[in-house]
Formats: sequence, C-alpha cells, structure tokens
Amino acid sequence: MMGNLLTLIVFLPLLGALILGFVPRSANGQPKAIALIATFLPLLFAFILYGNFDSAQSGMQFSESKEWIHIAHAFQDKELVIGYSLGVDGLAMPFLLLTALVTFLGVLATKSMQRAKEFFIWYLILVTGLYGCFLAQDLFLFFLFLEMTLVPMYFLIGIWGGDRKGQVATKFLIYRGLASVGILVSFVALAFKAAVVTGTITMDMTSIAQAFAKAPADAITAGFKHGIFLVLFLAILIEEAFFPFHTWLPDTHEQSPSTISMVVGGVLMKIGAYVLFRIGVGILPDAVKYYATVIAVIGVINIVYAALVAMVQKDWRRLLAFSAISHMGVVLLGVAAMNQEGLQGGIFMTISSGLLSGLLFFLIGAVRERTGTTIINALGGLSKPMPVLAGFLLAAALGSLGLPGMSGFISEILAFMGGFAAFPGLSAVGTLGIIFAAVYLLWAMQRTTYGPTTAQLEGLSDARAIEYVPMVVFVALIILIGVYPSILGDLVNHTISSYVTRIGG
Amino acid sequence: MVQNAWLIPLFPLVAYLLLFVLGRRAQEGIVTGISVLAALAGFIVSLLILSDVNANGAQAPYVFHWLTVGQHSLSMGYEVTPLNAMMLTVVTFISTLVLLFSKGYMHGDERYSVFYQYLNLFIFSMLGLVISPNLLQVYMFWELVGLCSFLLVGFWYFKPEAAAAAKKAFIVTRIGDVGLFIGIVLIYVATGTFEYSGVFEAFQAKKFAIDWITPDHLITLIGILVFIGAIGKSAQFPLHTWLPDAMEGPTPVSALIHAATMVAAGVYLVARAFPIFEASPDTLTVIGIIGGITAIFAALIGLTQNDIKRVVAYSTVSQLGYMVMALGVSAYTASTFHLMTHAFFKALLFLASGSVIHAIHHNQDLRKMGGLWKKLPLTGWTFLVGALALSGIPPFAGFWSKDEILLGAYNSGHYVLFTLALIAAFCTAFYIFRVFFMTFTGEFRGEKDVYDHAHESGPVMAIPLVLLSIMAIVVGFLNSPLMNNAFEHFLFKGGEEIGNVYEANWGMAGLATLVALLGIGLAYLMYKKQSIKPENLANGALRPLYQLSLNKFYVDELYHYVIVKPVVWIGHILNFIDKWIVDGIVHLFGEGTLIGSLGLKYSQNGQVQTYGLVTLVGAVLLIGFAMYAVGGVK
Repeated sequence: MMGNLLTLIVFLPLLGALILGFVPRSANGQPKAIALIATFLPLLFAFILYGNFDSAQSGMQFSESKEWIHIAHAFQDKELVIGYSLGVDGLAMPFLLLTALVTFLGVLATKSMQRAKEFFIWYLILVTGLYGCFLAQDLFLFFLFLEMTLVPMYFLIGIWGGDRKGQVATKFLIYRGLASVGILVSFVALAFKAAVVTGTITMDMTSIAQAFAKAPADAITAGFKHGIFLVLFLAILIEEAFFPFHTWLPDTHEQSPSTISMVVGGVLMKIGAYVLFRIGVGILPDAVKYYATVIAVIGVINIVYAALVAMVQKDWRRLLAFSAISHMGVVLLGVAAMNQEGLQGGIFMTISSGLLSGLLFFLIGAVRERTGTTIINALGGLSKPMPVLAGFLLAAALGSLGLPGMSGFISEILAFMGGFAAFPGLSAVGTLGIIFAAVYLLWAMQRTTYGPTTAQLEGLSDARAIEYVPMVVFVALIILIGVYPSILGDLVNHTISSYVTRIGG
Repeated sequence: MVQNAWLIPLFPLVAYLLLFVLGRRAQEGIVTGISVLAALAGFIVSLLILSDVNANGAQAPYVFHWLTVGQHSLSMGYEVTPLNAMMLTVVTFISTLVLLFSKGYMHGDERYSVFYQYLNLFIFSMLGLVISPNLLQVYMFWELVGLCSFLLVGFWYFKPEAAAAAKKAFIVTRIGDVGLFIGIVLIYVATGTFEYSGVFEAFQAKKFAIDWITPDHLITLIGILVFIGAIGKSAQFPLHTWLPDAMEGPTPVSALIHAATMVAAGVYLVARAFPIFEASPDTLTVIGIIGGITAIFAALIGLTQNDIKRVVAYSTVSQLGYMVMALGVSAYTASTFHLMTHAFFKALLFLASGSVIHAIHHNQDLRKMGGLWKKLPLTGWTFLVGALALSGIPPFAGFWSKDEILLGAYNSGHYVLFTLALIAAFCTAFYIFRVFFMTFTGEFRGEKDVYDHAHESGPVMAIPLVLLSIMAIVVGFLNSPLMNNAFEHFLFKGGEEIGNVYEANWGMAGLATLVALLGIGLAYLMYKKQSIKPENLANGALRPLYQLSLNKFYVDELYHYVIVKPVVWIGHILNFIDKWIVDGIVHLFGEGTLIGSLGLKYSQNGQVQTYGLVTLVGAVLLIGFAMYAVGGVK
C-alpha cells in the first residue's frame, strides 16, 4: 500500500495545477478548494508514512526506484544511469512533514485575491518542486525539482508581490539561479568521481555516498573533496541566505504575499540546510570536517551580524528575515561541530525555524490584512483590539527567542552543546545571539502589541475561526517539540549516528 | 509521600489550564477559588513532604527518559531534599496568600482572569524549578519564571512604562541567563551529564572531558558562569537594574517576585548547586564580593527613593545581597535561613504596601502619604511587624537570620564584607522606618478627598496580612538556640553538613540590634519628630551624595550610553553596510557579469526567459569546465 505514496505526494499538487488549468477563470472559490485538496492529500499521505516509519533504521524507507535514463556507452565508455528514485530516511522525514504542513496551511491562509487561479497554479507547481527536493534520492532528479521551484517563485513574487515586485523577483531568480549552478557543478563532479571508483556513472545519492566512503585515498583525493565541497558550500550559502549572500531573503519576504513568505521561510529556504546535511555531511564528511573552522566562523558571523541588523529593522517582515538568518547561523555552528549534539541541534533548528517562520509570517500577514501595514512604528497597542492575534504573536516571538518548552530552545541548546565541545570560543561569541534575539523580538513586540492603542487601530477585528487552524497547529507542534523533543529526536537520531560513526572512522 | 512531589507543581498548572479554558469572562470568585484551592492543595502536600523529609531525609530523584542524543540520554524528573522541601512549603504558602490577596487588589480589572492565569503559571514554573533534579530542567523552568515575570510586570500593557519595564526585566535577566546557559553547556561537555549528583561527583574527582583549560580553572569558570545566572535572576549588582522597574506590575506580583518566586531562584540555585561553587575558593570570593557590594549599594539607594514600592524593592535587592554574600563566605545555613525568613516578611511588606496603595487610589508616592495609621490600623500594624523583621529587631524573624549572616562573615575573617553588611543593616533600618513614618504618621500630604475615602479592604486582604505577620514574628525561632537550631538539623537531615555553622554569639546579636535601633532612631528624628530636616540634608552639604542615591548611582544612564546606544548604533551601521555595500556589491557583480553583456536595458524588465537563458548558458559552461577539471572527461 505504501508502494507509490511518495510519488503521489510529489505529483498530486502538480495534478492539481493541471486540473486548475481547466477551471474557468471566473470561478469563485474553486481554485482555492482545488488547491486545498491538492495539498491536503499529500499532508495526509505524509502522516500515513510517518505512522509507518521505522525510526530504528538509518536507511531509506518506502523507496521507489525506476531506471529513467540509461546510456550504455556514455563518457569514457562508461555506463550512465539516471534513476527516478524517491525515498525517506530519518533526515528527510521531518522535512517532508514540514513541507506538507506549511504548504497546506499556506493555502488555508490565502485570502481572496486577483487572478487566484493562476496564483494557485504556480503555487502547486512550487509545492511539487519542494516535495521533490526532499524526497529525491537521485542527484539529477533533485536538481530538476530544485529548478522547478525557481520559475513559479519568480511569477508568484513578480505578479502578486509588493511595489518592488519586478526587481525583487529578478533578484530572487538570479541569486537562486547562481546557487543552482553551483549545486549542479558539484553534483556532476560527484557523479563523475564516483564513477572512477564504481565504473558506472550514477546519480544515485546512496551509491555515490558509498563510493566516496569506500574509495581509497588515491582514487578520490582530499583536495578534490575539498574543492567540490567549496563549490557546494558556496551554493548553500546563497540558497540558505547566509551572509554575505543573504540580501535576497529580506527583499523577498518584504515583497512577497504572506502565503509565499510562509512557504519561503518555512520550507524553501530550508532546502539549503537540507543539502548541507544530505550531501555535505552525508557524502563529503571529511571536507566538512576540514573546513569546520571556516563553517563555524561563518555561522557565528551570521548569528551576530543578522541579529544586530534585525534590531534596527523598521518592517516586521525584514526583521523576521534577519531573525531567520541569525537562527540558521546556529545550524552552521552545529554542523561545524560535527558531533551528535551539533548535527542533531542543526536539524532541530532547521525544522524549528521552519515552523516558527511559517507561524510568524502568517501572523504578520494577518496583522497586515487588518492594519494595512507591517511597519513596526505604525502599529501599537494591538493587544486591545486583537488580543488573540497578539497573544499568538507573543507566543511565536517567545518561541523564536528560544524560550524553553518551545522548539527553539532545545534546538539552540543542542547546537551549542555540540558547538562548545568543538569551538568553545566561537560558540561563546555566538551566544550573543541569544541575548540579541530577546532584544529585537521583545522590542518589536513592545512597539506592536503593547502601549496605548492609536485611534485608527481601535475596533479592528480579532482572529477569525479559520485563522485559528494554522495558529493552533503551528503552536501545538512548536510546544510539542519543546516539551517532548524525542518526537523529532527519535526520527533523526539513527541517521545522525550513522553520519557521526562515519566521521569518527 | 516524597514520590508524590510532582503533584505540587501540577496543581497550579491544572489551575492555569482550567482558567485558560474558561476564558477571560470567568467570574472573579470562581477564578480565585480555583487558584487558591490549587495552591492550598500544593501547600498541604508540601507539608506532608516536609514531615516525610524531616523523618527520612533526602531521597534519590525520580527521573524518566526525555531525549536521546547519540550515546547520551537526557532525562527529566523531580527530587525532594530538605532544602527544596522547605522551598516548596514557603512558595506554596506565600502563593496561596498572594492569590487570595489579589481578589481584593485586582477586583474589577478587565483582565482579572488573565492575571490569575499568569500567576498560576508563575507559581508552577517556580515549583518546577525547585523540584528539578538536573540543571537542564532547572534552566528550562528558570526561563519560564522569567517569562511569567515579563507577562506580569507588563500586565498593564497599555502603560508604556509597564511595557518598557517588562522588556527590561526579561532582557537584563537574560544577559545573566546566557551566563548560566554557557555554564550548564560547559558542564555537559565536561561531564557528559546535567544531573546534580553526576555533576557533583565529577567536580569532586576533577575529571573533565575538556582539555583547553586546567580542571581547577574550569571549575572556577563554570562556577562564575552559573553564578552570573544567579546575578541576573536575583538582581545582584551589576544586573540589579530590572528589579526596581519591575514595580510597574500590580503589587501582588511584586510580592510574589520578591518573596517566593523569581528572585529567590538565583539564591536557591547557588545553594542547591553549592558543591560546584565550593570546589573553587575563587568562585566563592567572587560570590561574597558581589553579594556584599549589592547589599550596601542597594541599601544606599533605598535611603532616598520616594516610591513606597521602590524602597521595598531596593530592600529586596539588598537582602538578596546578604544571602549571596553569606553563600560566598560559606555561611550556607544562614543564607538559606535568611532566604526563608525574608520570604515571609518581604511578602508581608509588599502586601501591606499594596493595601496602602489600594486604599489611596493607586498612589505610590510617599510624599503624598502620611497619617494613615488612623485609617488603616491593621495595615499599619502589619507593616510595622514587617519593618521590624526587616530591620533585624529581636525577636522578629529577620533578627535571627541576619545575625547569623553577620556572624558568618565575621567568623570566617571577611571583615570588610562584615563591615559593609553592618552599614547596610543600619541603612535598612533607617529606610524602612522612613517609609513607615512617612506613610503612617504625621499629616496626610495628598488630596483630602482621597484621605477621607481611605479604608481597610476587607478579609481577603486582611487574612494574608495577619498570617504573614504571625510568620514574620515566629519563623525566626526555628533556627535559634531557643529551638536548638531546628532548621539547621532539618537542612542536613540524612546528608553531610554544608558550609560553616557557628555557635550563637550574643555580643554580635547585641551589636546588630544596636545598629538597627540607631537606624530606626535616626528615621524617627528625621521623619517623625522632624528635629533634623531631611530637606536641609538633601540640599546642604550632602547634596551630591543625595543626588547620587536618588538617581541610583546613574547605573541605568551608564548602561544606556555605554551599552544600549552603542549596540543600536552598531546595528544601524551594519544595516547601512548591508544595504549599500553587501547588497550593492552583489548588484554590481550580478549586473556586471550576467546582465551587463546583454545590455542594461533588459535588466529591469523582468524577462524571465532572458535570465533562464543566461543561467543555462552559464551552467553549461561551468559544467563543461568542471568535467574537464575533475578529469571525468578528456
């Protein structure tokens, strides 16, 4: 029964987009209904898979694999195999669930708009791309799905964005286009080098990882691994919006419709982190270890730099973008530590940041819908007209600043437990981020929800019934992970252990 | 009974959830009823546990698995020791009374139910902290306590001062928390565990998994880092600035923060984790000095404040300084005993102040009070009991515990600290009786209308005052020679003695009492008889000193200009760099290489095909190069 669920998850949204194509443009509400179904079914299937997932295994589960492209005599007379293969392991599972959740809640949160049909067509294509990225077990397939996220995003920002939409959409495209190039280059290099060892050119991630793990030192030199990792890492820095390649993210968040901000902050920008874990740590652990200090330094720079810049932002959406960059810096620190605590903390932080970003951008979207602005100083005293939204915003801000009992804290402390074991000095600097996060978030909260209510903000309506769904679901998960982190930890523990053993050996 | 200790924090948690579900329109009586019953149930269980521990001593913690991290397993759980059995009892007792008192004080508030929700969450967090058997769990509840004080200090969120004070409380304590955070993370890295018992063993054996520092230095480093957490939470110098501002919260909250929850957490942590600090003489010295400075520093500020709650707040800072100093000089018993006695008389002083404030229409300015004894006799009497206890007049509670601290400092040879503490004791007696005389004696200095309407507020506010007064009178005897130092015997039941214990010294007791009486006498002369005019002192030769004290030694201003402003400036500078340099260079780079060749006029028209093409061409070139370079194709 589990046979084709992964394929269904990936392509149901695309099918939804196709169906939407036949819906007349004038149809009211239909596009959203179709999009809801096309994102809800994958959500349902993802949870079925989760229920049947065996977390005691470290390998791929529910795998689907078909030979797709086969050339018997490709380069240097070697066989070339590209597979259509999907699978989930302990690393991919949390990302699958995150994608399912955020993309569904994103549709739910979408307000009626101009050209809704086209919006949802692009949106659903984007969703297929996102699922594909986390489920593909073949580098070539992964790359296709990654490219599949690019074009829809360009139109989603470019058509439904804010006043600088054209410029920002282009910026998004160029940045992430460049990142794709880096990723493609490193993938090709990985495949060809693995072929030197195995004799077959394959793009299958597991085979490549095994080839790299087993290859004698003279077949795949350390220098080669380092070089290829640098190209990949550069791409990840862009993809994940790390300093100094981060400037597309605040612009994107500022100019995107709030649904798209939810998906970008919640899922899309996490692809970079996923690649870092899957390819960087999974295939090139020696190189990660070799550049550990560099990675840690970049991580700490991001933590502190983005936090300081966040402090002076005037727009909530830019503040949240920098906040996310700062938090993702913690991921780099955890990865650089290359120990169990650090890697686990890194994955926790990525997922936690995804959930919190999804929630925060939803809430800021809801505030904007009512007040017409996201400029912090134009708000104030929102607790009075909308106590529920203000309460959830406070919960989200607290989760984001790492309050224990919520997902951010356990992520942060695990990453630092790893970080302090490997880089005590750098980690100590990184803890500044914990203080700064409290400063910029509470300062923004103070100016947004506290204080006297201005006349034009009085009488605004509080949360509607439908808006409780995303808020409650997000907060429940954030608290669940904070109070009972094993729910996430048990999933990823074995996969990470297998990575760590490889590093140790 | 000890295995049921988890019930104690559960009661207020359930009360919180119940109130949350009932919503903000729940009836006031029901809200208070649920909350008081929950706290009372906790108090009863605490008493049972107290007697169990008194009979059987400390028992092994109860733990369950929480999270697997590779080879390590992190656990959560609860434990009962004599120290935390005492804390549980005190916290639940005071909480019950504060919850009851709030019914009168918060009556008619729009968010009455929300206030009780927060109070219950606050009590839950503090109780959870107290029964934690490991440092990770302590840290989690530690932060939750901070959150609740943030919510409660900022309860009247529409007041800008309250919003600012709440934020300040959270951020300043968080600076300390990061010290604690690093401390416990280093403990984990060094010892592989967060459990108290495991950590203490490792500290005794001095075997650590950290090699970039010698074991002895590591012990000192960790001790100081953990202590920084206590500095923030217990409002020690130099992180004391949040506590007086926290007065913006409703007065019952102040009573809770100052007596039972929040600030007690810092002292409790140092006491509970004492082996960590005891392992390094340097750490103890730092603790002693910080405590001594705080005791005198806050006492000096307390001399001149005009807000009734602020004076009491500075007295808390100062008294916490005593406790911390006592730990620093290894007067462990004296410190924990003062923690307990102080909880009672400080809750009393705050609730009595609250009763005054409530009676005169939420005015807190001492300069607009006076002559209230006739209007508020019960409040006056109970405040007097609290003031006598705080001043250390025998036989009130504060006398016994403060005397032990002075003795501990003197007998361990810390004469400077001893002198500071003695001067602070004089100041304490002076400022609290300054408040007493300015509030209850003389003529009323506010509007006549307000005075005419002032009256006592009924049993829900009177009962807590009376019960706390009784405690403030009798609780000191627990560790007096009159009761054969029962508290001390209880504290070390079934375990080893910690720190130094000294025989009672009647000479020291006499000296301490004399100093306190001198302070009271001076306050009497200045504010009752007015034979020495305070204004003359303030505007005369002592003016610079007066200004220094009145302006709290300008510490807030110093922080504002030395830390806050520069950090915000750095933020602005980095933001500028981010916008114009980081983004600018990328723009140049992008436009120069990719788009420049196609002509700038295409760069802004959003031709996605163009960019797609450029990307594709670039990709093909790069792949070709890569394949060539890595040797796959030749």
